[in-house]
Amino acid sequence: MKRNALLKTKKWRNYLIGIAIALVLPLIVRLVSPFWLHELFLIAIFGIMAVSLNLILGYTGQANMAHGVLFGLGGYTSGLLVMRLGVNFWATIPIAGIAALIAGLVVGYATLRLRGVYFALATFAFMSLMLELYTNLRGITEGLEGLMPIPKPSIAGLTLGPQQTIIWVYIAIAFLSLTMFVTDRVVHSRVGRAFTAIRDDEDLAQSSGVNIFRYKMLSFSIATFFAGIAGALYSSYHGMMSPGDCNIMFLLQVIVAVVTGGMGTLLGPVLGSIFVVIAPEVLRVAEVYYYLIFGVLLVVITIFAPKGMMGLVKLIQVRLKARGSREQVTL
Amino acid sequence: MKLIEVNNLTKRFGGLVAVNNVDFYINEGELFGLIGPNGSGKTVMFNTMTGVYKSDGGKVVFNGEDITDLPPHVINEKGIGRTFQGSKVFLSLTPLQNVMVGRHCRTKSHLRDVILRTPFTQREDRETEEKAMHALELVGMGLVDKKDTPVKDLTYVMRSLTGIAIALATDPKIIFLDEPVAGMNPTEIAQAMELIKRIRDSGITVFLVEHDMRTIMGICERIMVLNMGYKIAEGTPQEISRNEQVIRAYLGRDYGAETKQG
Amino acid sequence: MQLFLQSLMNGIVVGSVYTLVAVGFALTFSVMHVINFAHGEFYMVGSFMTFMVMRYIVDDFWVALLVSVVIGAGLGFLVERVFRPSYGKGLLTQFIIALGLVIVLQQAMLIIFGGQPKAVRSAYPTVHTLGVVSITDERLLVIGVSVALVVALFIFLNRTKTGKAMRAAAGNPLAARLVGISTHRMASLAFIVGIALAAVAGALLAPLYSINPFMGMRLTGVAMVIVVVAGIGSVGGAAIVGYVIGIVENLFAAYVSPEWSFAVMFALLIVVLLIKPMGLFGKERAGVAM
Repeated sequence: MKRNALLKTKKWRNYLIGIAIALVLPLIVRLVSPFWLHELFLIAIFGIMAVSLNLILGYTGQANMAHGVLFGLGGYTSGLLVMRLGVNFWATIPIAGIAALIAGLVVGYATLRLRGVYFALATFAFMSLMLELYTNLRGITEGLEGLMPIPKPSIAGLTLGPQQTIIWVYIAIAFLSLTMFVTDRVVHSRVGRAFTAIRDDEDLAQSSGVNIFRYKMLSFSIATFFAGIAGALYSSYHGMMSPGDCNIMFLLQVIVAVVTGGMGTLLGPVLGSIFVVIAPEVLRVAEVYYYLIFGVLLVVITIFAPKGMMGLVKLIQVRLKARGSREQVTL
Repeated sequence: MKLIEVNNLTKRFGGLVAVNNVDFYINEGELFGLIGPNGSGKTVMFNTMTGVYKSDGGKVVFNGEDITDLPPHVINEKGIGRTFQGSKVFLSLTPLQNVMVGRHCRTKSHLRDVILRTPFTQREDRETEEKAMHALELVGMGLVDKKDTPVKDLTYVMRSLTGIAIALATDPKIIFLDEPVAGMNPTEIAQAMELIKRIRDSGITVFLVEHDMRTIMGICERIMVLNMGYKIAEGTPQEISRNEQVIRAYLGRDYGAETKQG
Repeated sequence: MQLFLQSLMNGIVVGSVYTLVAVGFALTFSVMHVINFAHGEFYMVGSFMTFMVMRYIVDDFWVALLVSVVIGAGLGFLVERVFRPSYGKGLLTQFIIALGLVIVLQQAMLIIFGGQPKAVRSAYPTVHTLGVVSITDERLLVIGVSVALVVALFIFLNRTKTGKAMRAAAGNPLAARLVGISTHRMASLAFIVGIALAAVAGALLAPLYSINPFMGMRLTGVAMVIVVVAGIGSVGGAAIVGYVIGIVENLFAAYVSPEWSFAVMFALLIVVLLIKPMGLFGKERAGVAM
């Protein structure tokens, strides 16, 4: 009992720190430069994508390749509703989430009976199919050029144009917090235990009473819902949505964020998102070669730091604790 | 009362018949053993009965209900718990967390409860932890002391014990144990034999597959012998150890000679 | 009728290329269970090597083909080394390594050759007319080489000692090691052969269509569809399905809509998954050990 109380206070302390950073950071960044404010928005969007993908990937161990195009579906849904039907943007957010969730259920139903590698391949095929749909259903999606212009939404009369980027950042961070909150609750619960059991050993999990198909579908639903929301936010911020925004390169970035940040942790995907958005900017100095270097960097990190940044963080924590206790002994 | 009745159960892998028309039954409250040389089909039998493999013929009736080819999680929920050969556990969790997974089919919290952290969920989580502790305590053998150590840092034997605790936590009517004493030294084996008897005495029927002769002969009331997928004998340990076919296939002439003298 | 036969013919040509790429992909997958997501890039590299040889070195298709094969084999050897630390470390690690390779290869070709599509001269432009169908020698060559290589691979896997060793390593690595087969060597070999096949496919295709550094992705996608449709562990199935997909794609383009012809194979995949999740020629999962 005492242990639980201690953990609770630590948890609340972490929450407060997180909220403080979330409130203050955008203001600081805005003072520094508007460009980095834009980057902060992207980090938050990638954060939502990475935290939700982590639920499928880090916690149930399924490599879902369709996550990116469902982000696209959310963006298209929201964009179309606003552009063609004049629906209020804020209402389209949950609708986009639900649209992505339904599509996610369809993909899940067809593919979740496959294991490991074959699941990855099958979801990859779904991704390709959806990209073809986005490109070829020109009447609806405007094809390769992209759906645009998507009108900017407004809050209380204020239109959220380029000058109001900081508001977009707060909105994105709010949804990122929601995603993390839900993920945290799910992971530390009966449902989360089922997810981890599935990831560690499907056969044992099944024979110990876990309906693995049902729980894989569940992790899919939660994750794709948030992917759809991220898509809606992105498409209205950007003013457009195109197949190029949700293609394999986008998916790669999300996966890199999840893996380099540290799978199966809550904060890891966020750290990974920071890396994914900032690294190309930092590497831009190498001009033509920057993408190339990024590729090499990727391979190196994956081979030598498989637990990602959270892994490194935990390693440092362990080292510090060991040092601390050693000092106590000598005293 | 016959808790489990198996009729003509068959399982094939391509051209190989791993389990060939096997018939047997297990009484409620029994300590029933299954032995046979390597490759005789023991684990395949377990897997086919618990839904991990699809059968190629025959029927499995549990508690009066036909459970043939039902999915493993449904079979577990109906009251059959099992362990796997090779100390299968959830490697990234602690023993306590592992066993808490076993409580899954006896609990109900779902998405809405979990996100809102309702009083129902909080109560259920507490109960889950308590019941998991009970299972760990029933297993004993030092496992409770290690309940918060990640299983990947534990020994093979500790992992096997965790596996047994997981199966116990599912509140089974019968538990299938697949080679539970593998890797144990003689002291541990003696303790494990007591454990298995304890499990049976607590009201759970036991279906035991083992290679270790002392264990099987020492605690089982009835034993079935498989060889190359066929049932070649069934009876008490005395009867089995005297059965010509069994001796020839499995026990070796020395053991047969020993029991004839003793 | 003419349309049908012509499309069928074109489908077989395209299918020939698909088959080589898919079989190579299935091969690199089967021994160490590595999804080489960068597989299509080696097809692209094969095309560019052919272009480079014929444009800058010697205008001989067969030399270019040989160079592509050698470079493909060499790259195969290197790539297996790159993947080696990731064996058993999970799908994602491999995926990222592969994606890293994709970026590196695409960018390398982009930097060296530029982004404009290139054309390779066809060495055998003679057109034959067989009844209502016309076909160039070049295309017949593609079909011929493809079939020859598939047959050769089949013989290798089933009749030679090394081939059987490779199949053993793929089916049951532990048992294979116990009888003295080096799974690492087999993996190397699988990669060398698999990627060389992809490179050959690229070389064969180069004279038919224009090439650019980003065309590899498409082929990777096709290979994945083929492997999943054909099913778990089936290299032979991949060969057959490769030709079928090529034919289906072309017939669909001719009779229904050229725009959607690429998407059709993905729809096909979904249908197959719903009916036969293990693939058309797949075997039941091995499951828990006996």
